[in-house]
Amino acid sequence: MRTTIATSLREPLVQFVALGVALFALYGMLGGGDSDATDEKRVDVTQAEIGWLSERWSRQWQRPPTEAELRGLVDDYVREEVLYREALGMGLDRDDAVVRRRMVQKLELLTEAVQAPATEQQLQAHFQENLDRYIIPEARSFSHIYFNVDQRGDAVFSDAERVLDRLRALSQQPSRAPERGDRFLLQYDYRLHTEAEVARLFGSRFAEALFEVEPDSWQGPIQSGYGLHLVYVSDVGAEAVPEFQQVRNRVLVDYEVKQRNDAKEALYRGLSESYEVTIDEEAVRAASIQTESGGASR
Amino acid sequence: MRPSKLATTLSLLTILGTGVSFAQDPVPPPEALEGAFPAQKHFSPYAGRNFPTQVYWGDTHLHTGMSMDAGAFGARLSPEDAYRFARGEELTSSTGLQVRLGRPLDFLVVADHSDNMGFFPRLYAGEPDMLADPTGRRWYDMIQEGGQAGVQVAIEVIQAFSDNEFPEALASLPGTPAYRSAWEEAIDAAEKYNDPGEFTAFIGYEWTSNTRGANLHRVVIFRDDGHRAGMVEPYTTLRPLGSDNPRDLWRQLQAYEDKTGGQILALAHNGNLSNGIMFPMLDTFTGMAFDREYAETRAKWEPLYEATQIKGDGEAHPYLSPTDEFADYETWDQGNLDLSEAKENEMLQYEYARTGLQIGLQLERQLGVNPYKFGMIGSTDSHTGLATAEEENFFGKHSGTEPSPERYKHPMAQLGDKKYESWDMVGSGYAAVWATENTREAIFDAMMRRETYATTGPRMLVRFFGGWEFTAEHAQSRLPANVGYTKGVPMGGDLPARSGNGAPTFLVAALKDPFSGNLDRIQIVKGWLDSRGERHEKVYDVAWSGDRQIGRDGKLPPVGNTVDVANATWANTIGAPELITVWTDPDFDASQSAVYYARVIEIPTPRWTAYEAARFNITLPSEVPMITQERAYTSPIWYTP
Repeated sequence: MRTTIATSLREPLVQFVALGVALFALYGMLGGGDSDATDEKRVDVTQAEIGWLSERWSRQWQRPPTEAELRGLVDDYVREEVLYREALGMGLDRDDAVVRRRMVQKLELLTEAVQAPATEQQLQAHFQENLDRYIIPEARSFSHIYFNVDQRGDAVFSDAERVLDRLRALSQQPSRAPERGDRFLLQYDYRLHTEAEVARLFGSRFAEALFEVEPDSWQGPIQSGYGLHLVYVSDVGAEAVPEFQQVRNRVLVDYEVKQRNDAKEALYRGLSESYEVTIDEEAVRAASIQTESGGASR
Repeated sequence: MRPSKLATTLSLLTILGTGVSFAQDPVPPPEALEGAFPAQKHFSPYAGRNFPTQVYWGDTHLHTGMSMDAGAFGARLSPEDAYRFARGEELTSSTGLQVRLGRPLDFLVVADHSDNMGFFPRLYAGEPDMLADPTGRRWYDMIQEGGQAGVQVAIEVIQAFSDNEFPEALASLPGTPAYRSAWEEAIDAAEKYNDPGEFTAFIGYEWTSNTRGANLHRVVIFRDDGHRAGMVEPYTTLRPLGSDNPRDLWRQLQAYEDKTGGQILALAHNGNLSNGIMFPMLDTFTGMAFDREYAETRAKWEPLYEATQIKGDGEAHPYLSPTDEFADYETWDQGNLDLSEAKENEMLQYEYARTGLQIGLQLERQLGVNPYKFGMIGSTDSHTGLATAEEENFFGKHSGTEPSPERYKHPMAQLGDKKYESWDMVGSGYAAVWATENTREAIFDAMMRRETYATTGPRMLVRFFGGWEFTAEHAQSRLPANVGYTKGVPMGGDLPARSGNGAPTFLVAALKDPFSGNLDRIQIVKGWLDSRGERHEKVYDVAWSGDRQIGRDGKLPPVGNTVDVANATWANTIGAPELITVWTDPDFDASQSAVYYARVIEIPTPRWTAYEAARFNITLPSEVPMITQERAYTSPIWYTP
């Protein structure tokens, strides 16, 4: 998988070599090379090719090749080079899904490979630019009194309202307030839960309502997936911006993911600018299954 | 991180600080709280509660593109992607769909197959070594072709592997750089996303013993960090480096603990595809009787069993439990995993959790140790990198079966005239763990003490305690868990020594998932041995919604059905949000060993197929089930005379 290969490519030496190859390839593509070997029908097996063949052999067999073995490799190389060029010349690579996919992968891998490790400044900047992602959301501490619809039936609303009226009439908060309602199998008191956390436990409608009520007084009744609740918000932890160091690991992971994706996108955008693309919409419709709702949603 | 998920201890102190105090039950005597949760002395009545007050939800069994078959089926997501998705982020699936979980999970084990781990990414990338082999080349071309050709590769890969005919040149074997780098990628991903208190990313893998297609798979989970896990490589099944015999796996687990001082566990799944060898009476590998060592080592390493997942539910089978009207739930019983051998009725008893627990009692009688003393969890075993078990958001078994108007037309897998239809896939399940906090250590420890339960996807809360002195009024308690821990043992435990002449009592409670259906009923399933050592079982309805009466046939009438299949909706106008009761075994015989677990059943809700039909506006064949009754299975509580 890309990341497996990417790991080995993160080695500085490999990066350096890869960058060199990439530049060389680009240079070649732009026609800047002073010898256009494919036209000249020349195969030069120089020290560079021989070194590469020998190294590849050594990696596989854990020893350098003998002269006879190396000559065999060179012969194979020449043969492969001649046939490869001819095949390219005939355009045999064009309709081959394997070759196409492989070439695309190689190009994308190059962009990934040359990513330098993130600096602290880059991470800090990423953190600042994406603050909303790292913001510690508002959290609320609350207690609730539960009214079980299944047991109380239609009386559940009036029961809840009655308890609420009584609680509001009291000058001091009673202890054991949740005992004025029904037993509840989760907790009666929650400390600093975010809206998302409350939603996981009570459902989204309840969570939304809880985060709108006035603190420091009994409010409700609010409906949840379980029944009705009176709620008392006793503490509000305001939305806050964390210190960079608190979230550095998350920032790092996010930054790397973004960097990888950006690099691929930038490469594609840069290269595709010079292309004009037309798509035969009629043919798209003709060749696909038509459904009313279109594609899948989540 | 923010202390939002700390124990209630803190919350009470804060509330006291603001002058509002909501006390409930009398303070439980601290000395009554058992050893696992040492009591502390506090002013507050809640503060002695250092037993688990929260369920953590996860998937212990997820494959990514690193698994050879998942990759072949089209999964391109990596372990990193899998963790990101599980913790709640939106991703693009391998088939290009935007996808996100309705609610994030609390933990995840990426468990890619150890055999040939990383083989697929290398094949997919077209590495020269892979393409040099004729089979590798052919597979590569088929994958590029995509669609059913890709699926065919997956099937060939699995079969070549089962038949021990996997091309040697393609194998990714332990000890090679390719294997090592795949394992390190798995470890690195877990290390990167493990965030104690917020999200637990376990390091793990799957050991996939599959000789002749008989599923003996185990997921292996590390309690430890990457430093320790990196000191070994995942154990494989091909000799000589690996073995398909679980005994050899256990030896490796022991070697790991000896070498690193770490902790590790194994958990099996899909006995329903083992063709009679998941919970055997005799050693399948030798044909001989088991020895005590087998029982001891299996019990030591395998505290849990994955009782429900996409490839069929594993709790009970209608042939074995003909009077249990809920036993035929998402049954997969055509044959073994690759369908190369048909199922015989004789095999079934050795395949399902319910009979497995009873066979455990029988073996305990012979050997003195119960090898099948397992708790229950559910998981997906999804091969998409996406841990989805929500019916309305079900991404299927593998990337060839992600949502599409065409999904139902293609079999999930096929061999000869036998096949698993895509619509046979079960939108299941998740693992619920009663742990003290969301860390690798706390969740792993809860798994070891089996304080877990399985669900088919919904996140209902289930408590199950056994003891000798629960009475009806304990079901009225404001804090049932306090009573449960104080006067009994939680799910996964052994009943304490019998006191008095009574029968065992069970405090059982369930609270619905606020996003899912109401509750129909709670049942207690009892298995026991008579004086001759024969197995028996009985299902008791113990708590239910509404004013239904048990009929003359001893059955509670069905709860009803509000599902509107065409629109894939239902109404919670039947069923109850919460059920709780204390149940005393009416048929108890103190001389007979017994095992009890609770099964919680929801009211009928739309099955994933109904959501699919409504979403794509398609008509599925009439034999496709469109309604389900989701459920939970708790870990058992055992009684030993």
